[in-house]
Amino acid sequence: MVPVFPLLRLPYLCIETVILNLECLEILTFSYISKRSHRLVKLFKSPVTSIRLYLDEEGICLSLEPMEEHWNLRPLNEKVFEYINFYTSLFRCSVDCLEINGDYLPEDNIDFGFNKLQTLLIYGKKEITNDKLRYLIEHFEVTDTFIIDIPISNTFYCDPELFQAKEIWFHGTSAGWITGGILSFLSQLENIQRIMFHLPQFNIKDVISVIADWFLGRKLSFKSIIIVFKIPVHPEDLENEYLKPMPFEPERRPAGLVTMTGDEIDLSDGLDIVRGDGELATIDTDGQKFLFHVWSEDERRGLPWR
Amino acid sequence: MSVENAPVVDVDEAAIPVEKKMYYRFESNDKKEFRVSELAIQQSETLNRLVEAMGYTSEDVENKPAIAIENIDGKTLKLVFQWCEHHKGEAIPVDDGSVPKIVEIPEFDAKLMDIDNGLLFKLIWAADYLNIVQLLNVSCKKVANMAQGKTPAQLRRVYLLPSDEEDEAAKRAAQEAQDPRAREVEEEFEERKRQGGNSFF
Repeated sequence: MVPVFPLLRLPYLCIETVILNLECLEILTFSYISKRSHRLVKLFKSPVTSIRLYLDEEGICLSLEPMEEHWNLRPLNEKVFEYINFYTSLFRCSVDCLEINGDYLPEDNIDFGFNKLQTLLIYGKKEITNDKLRYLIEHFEVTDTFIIDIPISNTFYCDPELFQAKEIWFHGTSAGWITGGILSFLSQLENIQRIMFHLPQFNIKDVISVIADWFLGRKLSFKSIIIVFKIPVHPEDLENEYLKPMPFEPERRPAGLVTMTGDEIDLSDGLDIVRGDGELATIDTDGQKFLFHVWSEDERRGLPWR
Repeated sequence: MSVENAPVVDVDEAAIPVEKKMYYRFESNDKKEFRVSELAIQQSETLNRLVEAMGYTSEDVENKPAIAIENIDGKTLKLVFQWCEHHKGEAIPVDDGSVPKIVEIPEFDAKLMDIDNGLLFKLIWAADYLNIVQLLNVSCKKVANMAQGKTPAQLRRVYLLPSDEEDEAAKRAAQEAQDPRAREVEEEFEERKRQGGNSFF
């Protein structure tokens, strides 16, 4: 005979302590038992702070954070999104991060059931159709990081105002449609702090123009611009009537910029610009690569960039 | 230290400790008396506040009646005080907000809680009543461990959780118990429905 324990006859605090001691999978099992058990789980502090979704050839993989419990939901159909709604409702959290392998996006656009994200990553090897990409960009409001690493046609276009994330990264052959006009528009958006484009249509003069805006105080929130151009950047390309670049001096800043992963980018050959309000930025070039970075106080003290 | 050797003793079974440490006397609701060290009592916020408020001297402890704990029986209280004596002097854990809670059941506690679920239920209830944070944590962890590898149906049986239908029936019964007229009205309504009437009035 299975020993039984009358859980619901315990005082409220004890029931809560038992449930907070359950593992994530056990909490899910508990919530399936009845409406009452489901309500109880929703009453107490949730072990899940956010949900990450990975859409690939297997369907959708759901990861409950921070414990990194994974569930594969397949096949990809409406039921999957009902499950996702169930999880977000039970654990009172949202889907914060979505990674999409564009090679396995279905023909018809997906109704994800949510549209706010902190991070969206779209990657793949095959060129994504303009309609599918436009749908994804229009559907999601991304607040923190928008990363695209999938071939995009140069004929693609969407309203650049749709990019409201703090960081925008276009890797591989995904930035071929980005013109100087789009760069200029993006640089005027309030939220954007970092952009990275690989092989865009625009040239170094367009970037210098954006940096001059920063120097003149028209664009205060910019932190960094990383571009890989189609052709090498020459020192004379950096000349501008406003900017007065100076060579590196150890009193002003460290020689290297420490990234979040702990790597150090050597900027000892970089040129410094000091804005009227004392903000310090460095421009560095290496062949086709170009970097513009505004130093925070922490970074100037050798701490990793944020 | 083993459970058997934990320094909690029934007053009838052992001599009064010769140490100068202060020992308090407690009595369970079935009149079992226990002597518990001052340091062990600190594990219980409720008892600690109680003895502080009473301000007993060593003489008071001997001359005045044992402090009665009305809600807990001797068998349960013995376990509680064995636990407190074993863990005396240890810091009271502060909830760091982590979920699931990070609780390890030490060997001594596991052995102490090698008891039937009825007694475990009473132990949890006592830990809550006496506000012994870590005893509540480990005993609730033991109950949580019962869920390991269970399906919803199995878990429902283990935790004696009512189904939706049983909850509904219990709710109706509670409502009817509150208002005896409610059942009569419901039966009358059902009867009228059977007779084909579409209005109650």
